[in-house]
Amino acid sequence: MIRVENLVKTFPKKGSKERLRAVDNISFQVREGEIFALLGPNGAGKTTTLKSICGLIIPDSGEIEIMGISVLKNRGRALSNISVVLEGNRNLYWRMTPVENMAYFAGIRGKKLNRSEAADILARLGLAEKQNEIVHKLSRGMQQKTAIAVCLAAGTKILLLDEPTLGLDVNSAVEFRGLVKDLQNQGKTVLLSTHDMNLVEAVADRVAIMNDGKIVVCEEKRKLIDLFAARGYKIKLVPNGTTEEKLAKLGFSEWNKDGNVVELHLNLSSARELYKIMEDFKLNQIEIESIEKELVNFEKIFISYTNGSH
Amino acid sequence: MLNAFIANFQKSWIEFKRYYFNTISGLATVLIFFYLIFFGIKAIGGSTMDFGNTLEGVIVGYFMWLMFIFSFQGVAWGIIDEAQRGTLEQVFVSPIAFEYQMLFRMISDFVFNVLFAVPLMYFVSYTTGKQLNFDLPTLLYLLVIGTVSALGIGMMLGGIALVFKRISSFIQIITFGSLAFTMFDLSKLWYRFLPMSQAAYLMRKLAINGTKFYQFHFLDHVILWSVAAIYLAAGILVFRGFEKRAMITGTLGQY
Repeated sequence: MIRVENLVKTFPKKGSKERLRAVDNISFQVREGEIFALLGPNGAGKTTTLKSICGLIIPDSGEIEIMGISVLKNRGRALSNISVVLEGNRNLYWRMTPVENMAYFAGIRGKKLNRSEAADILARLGLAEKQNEIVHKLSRGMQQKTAIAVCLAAGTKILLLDEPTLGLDVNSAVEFRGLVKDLQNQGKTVLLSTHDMNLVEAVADRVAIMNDGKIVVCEEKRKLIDLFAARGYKIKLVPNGTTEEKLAKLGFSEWNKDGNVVELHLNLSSARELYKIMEDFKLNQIEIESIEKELVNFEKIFISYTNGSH
Repeated sequence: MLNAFIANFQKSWIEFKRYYFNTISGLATVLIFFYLIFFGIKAIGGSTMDFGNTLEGVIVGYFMWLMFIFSFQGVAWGIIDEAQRGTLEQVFVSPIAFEYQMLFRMISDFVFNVLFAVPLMYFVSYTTGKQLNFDLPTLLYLLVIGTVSALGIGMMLGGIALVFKRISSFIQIITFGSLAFTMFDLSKLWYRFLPMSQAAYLMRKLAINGTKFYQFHFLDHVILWSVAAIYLAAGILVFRGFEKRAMITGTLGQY
């Protein structure tokens, strides 16, 4: 559905002749019907990538295709296949109602929104009662739903959401995750740009982690979690006075000491490594109290990739 | 395209209703400013002054100027306003190019402006005791074709606003500079190639002598249409240049 190939975008640095590589030769594809997340810290290049896809930024080089149509060569036709919710809560006309916003944004795309279609979308999003209220009187969560309603009114198969949970309270953010899943169930393809790992963990099928303008990993979310889950171990040891000295001797550099327990967190590439460590501990008379497989959340995966420890 | 036009027209109407206080106070300002100019000129020079040739000319010139500034300011302020609100990029991601959206807005605004300007013009001619010979088809012909050049200027300013954003001082300069375009003695031919000037010149003929559009000299029509075409084409070209610049620098939505 979306193909990004060798995308590069640089911006001039303030007070310097150098250029900042906001997006550094990235490639990825978004497949039909999936929720694809671009995850990364602030300044990673996610929004620049998203804005390049929706034709708001002209890249230095590379190719972007939406349903086989080049955004750079045939912007209008390519954009007719996507609708976008851009970052922030100012992407709607605040002095207009949700219905008026939907009708306007559908209209400027050349589409006439009929009443029953608008009513159906608003009902699905739980906005039916708010349809005639001016947007600036709605809560942040309702405003974000209205932005989604505007997207749905366009009737496109692909939705691009830039930082969609930014500024939402916890309840609204949780509700929003369900909403994104619903979009997928309605047959939509969703490209998310976010730094909200809870959102990614809850809804994404595939994830591209961006850092410093590059994609450091692009993989199915499940595989990423499995990969890390297989490696994470928490080993508790019973200290006997020389335990820490022995650990240092065996090459360990980090552990936590909590009362009568020394705790080690290990990332191992295979079970064989674990057996080797157990053998070393036995030889050095380090008493093991317990070994637990650690639960892995997306935060750990993200940090591992973005700080270069992976 | 028709749906896009209707959407922009409806939005203009909705905003006009929601910001009615702003609209009414704008009209009041227009009238107060006019009476200050009119009675000021009358007090110091009467009907023999060259400024706008006659007091009748002042009425016509003033309303031509209003149409002119409303048209070009509408575009520029519109872009600044959207950039401030944060909706500009959202409009830009429409598959229908932004320049068309601007054009539709300008046409919508023009319709609203005409709906206010024409009755106001009759109102001031009545209150000032100056009888103006208005043939409505000629009046609309001149307003429509004359305003096209203002739209061109508006697109230029709109383009500049996309890149530089804070251009309010520049808009003020153009606004006051444009007063000259519609108030000058336009007997010199080259003056009439300034935006809107030819329309103002012919409007004066209409208002003072009652000349109807089919009675204008052929060359007058050619100048009127040429000025409109030249400024609109230049406006589109300049706008596209600045639009591309804003897309390269990634500053479309920034303010």
